[in-house]
Amino acid sequence: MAATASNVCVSLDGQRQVLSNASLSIQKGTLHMLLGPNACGKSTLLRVLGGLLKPDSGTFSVPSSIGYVFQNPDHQVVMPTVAADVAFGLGRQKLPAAEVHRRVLEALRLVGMEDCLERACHTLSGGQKQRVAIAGALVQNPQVLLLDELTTFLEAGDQAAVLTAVRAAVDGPQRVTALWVTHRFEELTRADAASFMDGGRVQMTGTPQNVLRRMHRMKGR
Amino acid sequence: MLQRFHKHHCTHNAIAGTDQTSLANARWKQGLLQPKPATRPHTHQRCARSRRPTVGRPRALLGLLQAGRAGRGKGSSESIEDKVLSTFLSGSATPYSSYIADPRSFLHDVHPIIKQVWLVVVLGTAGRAPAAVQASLCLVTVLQTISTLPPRLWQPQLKRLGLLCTVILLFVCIGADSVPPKLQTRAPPPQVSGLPSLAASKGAYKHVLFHWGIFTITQRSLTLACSSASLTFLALQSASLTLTTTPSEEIALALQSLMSPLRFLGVPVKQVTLSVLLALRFMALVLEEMRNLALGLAMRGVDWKAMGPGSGLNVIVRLVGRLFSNLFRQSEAVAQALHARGFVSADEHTIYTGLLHKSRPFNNVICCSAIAGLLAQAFVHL
Ligand SMILES: Nc1ncnc2c1ncn2[C@@H]1O[C@H](COP(=O)(O)OP(=O)(O)OP(=O)(O)O)[C@@H](O)[C@H]1O
Ligand SMILES: [Mg+2]
Repeated sequence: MAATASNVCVSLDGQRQVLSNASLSIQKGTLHMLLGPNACGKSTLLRVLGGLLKPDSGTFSVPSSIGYVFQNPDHQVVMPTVAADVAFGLGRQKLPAAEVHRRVLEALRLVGMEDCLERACHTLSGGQKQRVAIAGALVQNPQVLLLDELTTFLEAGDQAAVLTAVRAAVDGPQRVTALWVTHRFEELTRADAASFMDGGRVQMTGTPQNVLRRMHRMKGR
Repeated sequence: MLQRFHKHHCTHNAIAGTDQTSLANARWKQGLLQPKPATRPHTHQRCARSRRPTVGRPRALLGLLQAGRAGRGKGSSESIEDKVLSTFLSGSATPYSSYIADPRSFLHDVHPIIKQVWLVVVLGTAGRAPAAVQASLCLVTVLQTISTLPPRLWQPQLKRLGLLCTVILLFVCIGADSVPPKLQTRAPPPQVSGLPSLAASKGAYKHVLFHWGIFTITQRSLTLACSSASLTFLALQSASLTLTTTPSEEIALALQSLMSPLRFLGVPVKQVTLSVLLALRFMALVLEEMRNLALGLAMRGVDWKAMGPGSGLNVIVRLVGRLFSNLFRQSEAVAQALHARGFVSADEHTIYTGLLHKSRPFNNVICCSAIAGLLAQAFVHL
């Protein structure tokens, strides 16, 4: 397993239970999708896994190197130029410029943005920005990528490009594991596994087809 | 189209005061029934490969504004508020000058520190230089602009700046000496002392060059006008050239090395550098947020006339409040993202440009000698 959470409980403001005994395990080298209605706690679970939020109880285990990509790329892309932004995650290491450049180029190539090395970030489209944000996470060589609703703000073409970029990272030599939160069923077809969340807990995990069938049955009821 | 923008606005700009959760829930249910392509809440510029800013978007936004107005059947008369709004929407979303990677020019291969020193030296010396030096500096800057930028950029830029400098030139020329205060000199006037007046006896030098009614142009006002116009031109255009030929990170890092001696005085140089960079990135966010708010207003098709006088100001005050609260929310999210990307503190974080630009010795030498020449000239005319 690349990442697991078991019986994680989180309550915000000390009263409202956002996660109640949420358990999830993700296999290494897979693209795992997490679905569920709004406010069911998907982002909160991701924040727990990413170490941005401390759970009240329960345990979780993730590798030391995680990449986190937020829903809105405008918040994640912080430097004015693409290359510098992707390199931002390397800031805590002392590396020669040539090595930084090599790794930036490699990450950008993985998301299909190697032509935009010197572009100003504010001239990129939403999907391009989102792919730069993914490259910024990939450059740190994470073992797990936590991706929170990357495609909500994007047009169909950009959506597909972003999903392809993540797929490339998962299928690549580094065998990255990706947890992908989404509301879009059409994206499920590109996943290796999926989980359905509701009411602060993970209701089921299985193949994308099984999860989809279960959700359609729920809709029927 | 209208619907898409409207949806965007409601879900992502709290100006509408709509309950985000309920709207988003509706979206989820919609998704259950039929997967739909996403909306584009952020009005990003679409520039796939070219660096040409799109003009289509402002037009579309203006169309929206007109549609909103037509919706309430008042397409004919346009109030001041509507005009302000449409100016806003048609404005550029990008800051004045941003880096242009290619085509690479002479200035691209000059070291960023040298470019910054040049800026400082020009600002410090051009104002007091003789007119010939000022004129040649302006000429060199114009030539450099033309050779560095593509025509679609330098033409409007020089036109705008030329207009500004002409206005400054005219106003200072006429304004500086036209209404001199009437002063009584301590010396008696020439008719009392019986000596011929000085102005009449000398023909070669004239202090007053032109006089008509209340307009007076003197040697002094002409020099002042030339200086201020050329200084304005040089300052703005050299800064713009520096910005278009250097990535922002390289500028910031150059600034960092120039400021590094200040570390010994306790100045947090690294923090200043990072703040500059974040501010540069944030500037685009602020502009975008402002446009989003303006768009939301335009969408509503507010009938300003019906709302009575003073309503525009009222709305603006509330919008500014909204702008700030949105920006604070955004900066909180940015702070969290910085943390998730491994940022702990500015002192422990190295800013990498991710690029392998090397300046060329030849270009550096030429620029350094230009700086030396300018300094020598200033020293001579001290
Ligand atoms: N910072 C916060 N302060 C207070 N409540 C919060 C905060 N963040 C989330 N919540 C609440 O926690 C609950 C779960 O939120 P979460 O963001 O995890 O939902 P989600 O499944 O990601 O929804 P969505 O699909 O809309 O992104 C919601 O009821 C939300 O209102
Ligand atoms: Mg969420």
